[in-house]
Amino acid sequence: MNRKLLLSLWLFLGLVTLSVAQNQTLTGKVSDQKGNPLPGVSVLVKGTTQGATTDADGNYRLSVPNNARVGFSYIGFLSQEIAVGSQSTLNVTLTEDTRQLEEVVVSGLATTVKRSNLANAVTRLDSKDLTGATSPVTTDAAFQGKIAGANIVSNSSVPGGGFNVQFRGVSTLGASASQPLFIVDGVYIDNGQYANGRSAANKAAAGSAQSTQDNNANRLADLNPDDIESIEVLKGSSAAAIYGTRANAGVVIITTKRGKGGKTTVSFGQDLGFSKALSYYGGADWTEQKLTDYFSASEIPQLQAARANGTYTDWERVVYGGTGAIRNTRLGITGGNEKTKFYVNGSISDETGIIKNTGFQRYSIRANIDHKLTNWLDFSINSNYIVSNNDRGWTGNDNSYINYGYSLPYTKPYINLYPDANGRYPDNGSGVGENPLAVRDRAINNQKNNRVLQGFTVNARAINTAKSSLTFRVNGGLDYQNGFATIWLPSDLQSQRQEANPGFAQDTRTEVFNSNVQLSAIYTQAVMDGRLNLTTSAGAVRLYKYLRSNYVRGTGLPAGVSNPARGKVIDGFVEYQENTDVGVFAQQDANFEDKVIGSVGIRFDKSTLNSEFDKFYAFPRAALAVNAARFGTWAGNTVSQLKFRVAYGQTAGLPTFGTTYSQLQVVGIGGLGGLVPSTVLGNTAIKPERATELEYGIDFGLFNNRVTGELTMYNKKVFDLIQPLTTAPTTGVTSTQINAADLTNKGVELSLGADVVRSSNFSWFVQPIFWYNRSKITRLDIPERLTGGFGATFGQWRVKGPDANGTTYSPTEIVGQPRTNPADATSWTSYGDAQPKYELSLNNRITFLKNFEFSALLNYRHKFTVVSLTRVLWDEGGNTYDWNETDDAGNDGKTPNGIYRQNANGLDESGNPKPGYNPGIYSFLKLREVSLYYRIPSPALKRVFGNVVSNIRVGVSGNNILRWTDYTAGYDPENSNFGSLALGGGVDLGSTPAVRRMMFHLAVDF
Amino acid sequence: MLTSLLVGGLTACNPLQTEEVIDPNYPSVGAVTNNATKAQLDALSVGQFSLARNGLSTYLLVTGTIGKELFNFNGTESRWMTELNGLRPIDNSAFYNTATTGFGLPVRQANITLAATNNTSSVSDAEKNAYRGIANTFKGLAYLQMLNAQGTNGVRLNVEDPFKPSKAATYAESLAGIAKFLDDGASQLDQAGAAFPFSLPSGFAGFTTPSTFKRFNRAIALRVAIYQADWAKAATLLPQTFYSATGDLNVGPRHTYNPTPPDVQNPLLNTSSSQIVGVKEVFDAAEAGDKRLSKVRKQATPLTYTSGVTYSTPYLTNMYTSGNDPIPIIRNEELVLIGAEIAAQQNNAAEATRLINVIRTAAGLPNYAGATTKDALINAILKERLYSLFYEGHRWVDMRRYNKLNEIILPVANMKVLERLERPVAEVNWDKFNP
Repeated sequence: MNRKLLLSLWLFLGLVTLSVAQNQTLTGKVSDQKGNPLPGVSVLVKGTTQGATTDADGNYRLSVPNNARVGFSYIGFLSQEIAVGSQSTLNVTLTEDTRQLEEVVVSGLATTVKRSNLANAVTRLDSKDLTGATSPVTTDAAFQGKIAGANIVSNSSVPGGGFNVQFRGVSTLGASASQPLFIVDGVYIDNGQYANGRSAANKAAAGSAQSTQDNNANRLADLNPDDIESIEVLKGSSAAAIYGTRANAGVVIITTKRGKGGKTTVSFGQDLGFSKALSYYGGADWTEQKLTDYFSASEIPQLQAARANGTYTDWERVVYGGTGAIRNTRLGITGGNEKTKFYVNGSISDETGIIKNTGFQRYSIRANIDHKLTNWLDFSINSNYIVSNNDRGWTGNDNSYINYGYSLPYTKPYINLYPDANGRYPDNGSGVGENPLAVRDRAINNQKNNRVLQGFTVNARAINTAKSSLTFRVNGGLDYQNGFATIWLPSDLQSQRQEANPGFAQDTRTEVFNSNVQLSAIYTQAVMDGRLNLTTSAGAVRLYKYLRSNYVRGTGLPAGVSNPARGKVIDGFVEYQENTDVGVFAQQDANFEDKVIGSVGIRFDKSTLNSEFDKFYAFPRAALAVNAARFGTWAGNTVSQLKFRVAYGQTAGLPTFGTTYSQLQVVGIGGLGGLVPSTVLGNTAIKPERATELEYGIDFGLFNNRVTGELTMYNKKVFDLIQPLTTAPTTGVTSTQINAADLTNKGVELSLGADVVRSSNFSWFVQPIFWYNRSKITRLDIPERLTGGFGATFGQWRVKGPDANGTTYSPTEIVGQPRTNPADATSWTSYGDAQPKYELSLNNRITFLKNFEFSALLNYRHKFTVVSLTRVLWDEGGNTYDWNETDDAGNDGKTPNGIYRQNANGLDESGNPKPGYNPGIYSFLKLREVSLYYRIPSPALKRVFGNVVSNIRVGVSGNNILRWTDYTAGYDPENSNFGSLALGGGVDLGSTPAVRRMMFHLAVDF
Repeated sequence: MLTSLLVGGLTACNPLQTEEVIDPNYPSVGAVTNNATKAQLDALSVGQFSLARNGLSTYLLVTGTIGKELFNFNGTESRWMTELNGLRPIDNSAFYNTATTGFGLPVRQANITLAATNNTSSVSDAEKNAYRGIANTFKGLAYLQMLNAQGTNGVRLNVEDPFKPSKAATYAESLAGIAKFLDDGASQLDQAGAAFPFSLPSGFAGFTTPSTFKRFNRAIALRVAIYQADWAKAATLLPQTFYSATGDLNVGPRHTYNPTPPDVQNPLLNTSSSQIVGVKEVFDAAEAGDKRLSKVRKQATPLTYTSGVTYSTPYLTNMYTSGNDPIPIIRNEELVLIGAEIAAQQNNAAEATRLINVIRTAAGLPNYAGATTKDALINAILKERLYSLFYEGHRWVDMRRYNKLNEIILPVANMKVLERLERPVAEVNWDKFNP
């Protein structure tokens, strides 16, 4: 920015602030219905930005003009607005807002709006929703089942998470960001999954430098969920339009906790818990007959010996039967005074998995500081340093028996895997290439991350009068992470000894830097005697990202050597990525007496990821909300709120880095270096994927908002989707990315809330949420294609445009063998849709006997398709739990299920998928969260601790404690061998059991 | 003050300006299409040698499996045993379609090289012809392997513009087209001077000049001729190759490997999860004392496969044990057997028998004592080819060109011998979309 301009800006700011008038002083105390003082309540003179907040004892002090109206607002409580008149003391009691109608949610890059005036269905979850019941490992884990319109699938049950988050269907068909944009206190944070070479080590994706089969955590795992005050989910383009070019998959705005001022409070929290496998999958019995009929009769003596010695062992339970330990510790300090407020929180999350030597540790320290320099200038600084350490073990796809999910299905119970007295692990039985205990105990798959999140905001109020205000704001920050991953397979492992170069070690470093800075000006004015409030905001944004990744891979390692640089064969890899995005935006909001609230805005964005790197793309938006209950008096006492709302907006998704490049790659033969073209051609005319969304709905509140509801319908259209134009591969070109498809997502989201019982001794709040989404491809300018999975035998995602007769297809439809017409190579059998028919959640919160709080969150996902190869492995290995039975649908009653299923696929007579190797359609019901807390009453605390301890809360909670599912093709229908993808995510292969977690909680405030 | 520092520091100059990001990782294809330097053409040509290995391991395992000479006991992938043996439906989008698609890239490399030589003045005409001769030779070889996998589906002979490929030609047209590429290559090698502009990989020792490399080109053309059953043409080509009835049967160019990147290690090594085994029925039927049995190692305990199908064999392949082991492209042994086949087809039983006995003697076996009718000799040659060219991708193709697929012994009763691989799904879809 031009220096001269800045200087004049500051001069201008300095001049106008001098003109702010001084008036009479108002003091008072704010408390809740029980008479407890409320610290941190915002007290604001209406029509101005003059305000104060209450101190630790609930007291405030504020200078107000004569006859002013003063508003009192506090998160979780209903706001009040009171005419001061000539009083100099004003004590106020706020009532709790169970419906969160008063909470403020973002409506633009620089502006906010009260929920009751909002035109979009923005889901807001506060810390109580996220971490109040139980302690999730990661932030995305805390979302599951709580957001209408979200399809959140856990990729793996290994500690450290890994989640695929989709809002309102799929917004890309794979070429753009499939995951929402996460913004923490104004800092755009990275949520990538970074390869570490694991799938090269076990040959799941042999030879590839980067793979989606490494099964790593997405980096949102670094963020400590306990630091979060609230999240707001902008699910569609209509709400997220002002975020422009990165917002196609939605935006999640995370606000962390801040100091509220007043007395310094020290909070200590401790969780202790454990985790266990929810279910096992193997365990079929072995007999001599079974070996003779279906396996190798030569192994009968081994079976007899194991039976005789008592060494017959179910190895699945040995590997997965462990107990994980959960230990989370938090120590937070908040406080401050009128000018400076602070929040400092240090936390240690330490969780081990059910599999020995797996675990996740996160050490996080955060300091959020707010300071008022003058009454017109304030700033805040948010600093977060995180170290995470993740041992993920060996799960998922594999081509060398290293992953437990591959070796265990084939391991016979009569084989011994335990090490001998010298610690040497025996080889697995015939045909199985690795001993899972040796891998568990000796191999390393570790990922560490060092990360800094640094944000800042500076607000300068240039004008601050009763009728208008002008604020200049600069905010932004950076997200820097330095990942370090190690893989080691010792050279004497069974799987390695037969390699030409035994042993595998890889050291991967990944450096990712994101920075963003935003300048904005916000002008508010009240016109028509304060009945119409106008807010104008405008500004510019600049984002920059780079990634630098490299590894050293060594194979042919001497015994005991884990340093990849000392392998016989050393391979290196370096990759760079870089992009810059620039945007400018303007928005006008208008509010007429809280009756009619309108907003229009536009953003222009350009990005170096587009072919036309210097071209601005426009993203307009408009929204209107009408609070019908505020017109006249018709609503009476019954209808406390009735809001009609409609919103429209546009967003985009960017091409991934490198889409425009046609590369020459390097090969070698006999010491000579050569150049060969990549099989993927670059496209120098690539444009962003653009989406438009029209969202409309009704919000209502009945009986003084005791019953509330929010019904939303949306129609999201995505245009110019980037698709691989899959060329005939015998041309030597497999694909190029082109803007070739359109799709629509239509859906319904309904959430209700009711205070079923509201009494001082017992209250019961129930919140059912229902949603579904239907996607269909409305244009496809490339040949129909299959993607994801492992070929049509097991099922793949089909991308297919409308038929000549107008039939449209869902991009998440799963198709596979057999063909319905053997002569037609693409006449696949359809196995339903990977998106659920609908999803349902039921949240219950019960408080009883004043100090007890119980909550339960049920989540039901109805009929979605899962591609599973897991059962195939267990059936081939002879170990599936029902292998010996003969009762499967379609079986002849004589053949073992495990044999029958290996040769069954397709649909049965009634059109249901057979229990073979084909995809299947399943549902589940999970008790996602359940908790019971007890708050020790204040009088008791006072007696024992005096004034030292202000609050003690104890409780128990659980995560995924109960599950019902008709899934029989593996451990759990929630799964993804391929990590987080728009298409192709939900493939169950070599997975490990789903896990239930139980915790005991203690929280003490000093 | 703080603000202006931050703003100034983070956005410098005009905060709305962006600059194009040039690929920070690799050069672009465009760099060689216009006035390529000698170093670039050398690199493209070396790339051609490297890419000649593309798809090869899948091709050898697929053709070997379908021809029932070998099986891939792959513990983590039962589809090698089930789908390729007709026990489950063949999948036109599965990994094994690399046996067709893997040969697309060498063809494209050749086309890029040919285009680059036509659009440069950095090298002499002789040098241009050297690059072209190498490119066309490998183009012909890649197409021939692709066609072997696809059989009567044919191949697309013109893919210069990957967005406007020709339709697949018939089998006969495809063979004729491949012969043309090889003939073009041969005449370009004739005009390529005495030496190549760069040194060839060590696997081509003995074929390092344009004139000796042409013998390799003619050997591939000879294969095409016998597939065409054009015995007169084959008889003309035979002496232009490195055929020698008295020489070492193992002579011939080979693909070399090295595990150190950017080179690759031999892809056919047996591992803990993938063991390439000889089909029991094939090796049990071999004559006692056949030295060619050393290609497999008989195990004391048979190896048993139980995923999807149950099958046991004691024969574990023994041909590739080190990451540096080369894989032959075409050997003199094949040329001698082709010589025998030409003679038999031209009703020269004496010459056919003489050449069969060259092979049998080398294998430590007594002379051929069977009937000398044409059919008997052809059957005898096919049998020798089975053992001589085991694991080199011939059995299935040989039995197919003589319409004898039904004579292949099925090791498991309900197995089938596929006549060809399916056209890969992306090929089908492309034609559907671009009729």
